[in-house]
Amino acid sequence: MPVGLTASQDKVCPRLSGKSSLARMEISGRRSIGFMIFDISIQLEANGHGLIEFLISGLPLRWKPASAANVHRSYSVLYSDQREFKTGNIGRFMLLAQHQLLFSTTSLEELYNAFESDLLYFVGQRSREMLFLHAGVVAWEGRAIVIPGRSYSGKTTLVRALLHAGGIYYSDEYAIVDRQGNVHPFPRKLSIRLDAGGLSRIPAAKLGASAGGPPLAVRLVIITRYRAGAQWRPKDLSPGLGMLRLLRNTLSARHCPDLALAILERMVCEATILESERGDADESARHIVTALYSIRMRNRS
Amino acid sequence: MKGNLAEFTPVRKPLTSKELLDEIILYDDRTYKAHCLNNTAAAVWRLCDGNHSVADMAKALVPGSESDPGAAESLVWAALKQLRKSGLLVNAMPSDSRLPSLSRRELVLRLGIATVLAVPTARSALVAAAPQSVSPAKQPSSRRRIPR
Repeated sequence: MPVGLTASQDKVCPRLSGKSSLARMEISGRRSIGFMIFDISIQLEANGHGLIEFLISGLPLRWKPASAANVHRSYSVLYSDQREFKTGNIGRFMLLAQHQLLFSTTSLEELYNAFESDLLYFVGQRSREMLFLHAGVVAWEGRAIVIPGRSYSGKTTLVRALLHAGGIYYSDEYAIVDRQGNVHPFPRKLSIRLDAGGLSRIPAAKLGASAGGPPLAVRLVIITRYRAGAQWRPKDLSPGLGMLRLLRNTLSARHCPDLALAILERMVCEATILESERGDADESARHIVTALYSIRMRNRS
Repeated sequence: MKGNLAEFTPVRKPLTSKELLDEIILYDDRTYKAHCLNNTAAAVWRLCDGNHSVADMAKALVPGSESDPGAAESLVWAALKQLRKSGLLVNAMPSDSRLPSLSRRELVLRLGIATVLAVPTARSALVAAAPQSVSPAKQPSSRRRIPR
């Protein structure tokens, strides 16, 4: 039933321009590809020309081609051009994972978001190479500030305020932590929620901030949640209580608890962990910057 | 009756654990809960090996407590109650009505534990659950308050 993308639909993929020539060579024109993200093997097939290139080239994590053996998760993207069936003039994309329908949409952007979201969640749950935490990350003077939190906890807003205060953007969605406890950049555009609903993806550069850099040790973990009118009243948490809070946001905690605990311990062993509700993000960012200077002075003395 | 209580020998659940400097983190893969025990609760937890009675634990936990064994045992019971509440013990404890109960203030006064041992605490949290959503596109967008 599904048919291939038409030439006009191929043009709907503006993302394809500007990607590295290597990435383009690897995936250009393919209908199926195996690739690895960290230690997780993925298979992706699509029935539309250009779809694979579109989906893979936008991923915010480095990937490398791999054989189709020992695949941990397989995806299929089916495109049905409904014009073929005279029922409308917009085609529908169906995203399947492990042969189960995951998502259906007429929007390429939504298709990409669903693919990226599921893929990263799967990799985050299963990887034994890296630990994924739901967290925003900002670099400050060569160390990482980690702000764990679920969706709607306000972490992107606080990340944005810390960027305005002079921080370097690392992530607004996942803190990706290696076995030494260092945080790697997750260079995805910031997902800004719009008052009218929906998301807008904004590059850090557009906010006047630089992004990315080497893996960093963690200096500060901020456990916070937005509440209108709340005052910033931080209390120091012990490493154990800090780990407990981080485990709530650690994707692989249920699959690999030993590994998660070992990495989290390294992550927090030299970090200060503060917990507070927060109100206005800019005001909270000023308090956090002040706390960072206090920590630096304390570490010096 | 008190003597019988002191002979109670608790047994801990076999859980994934991580020792920190003053605390211990436990993970229960049946309940998906993680637990953080402070130093006193952690010390009691380590002794819940089926070989140590409450009296043994009291001696190990508060050396020189022979003059006031009741207070030291109360501290152990306070820790055991925390462990029971968090579902970390295998065997059933005696009912609360039989257990000695000292307030936090009384424990601190009689044992002087504030400087070395803290009043036992166990905090618990559910670790990261199933995916919140398949896609950001599927998340509700209109009813949630956008943080500022």
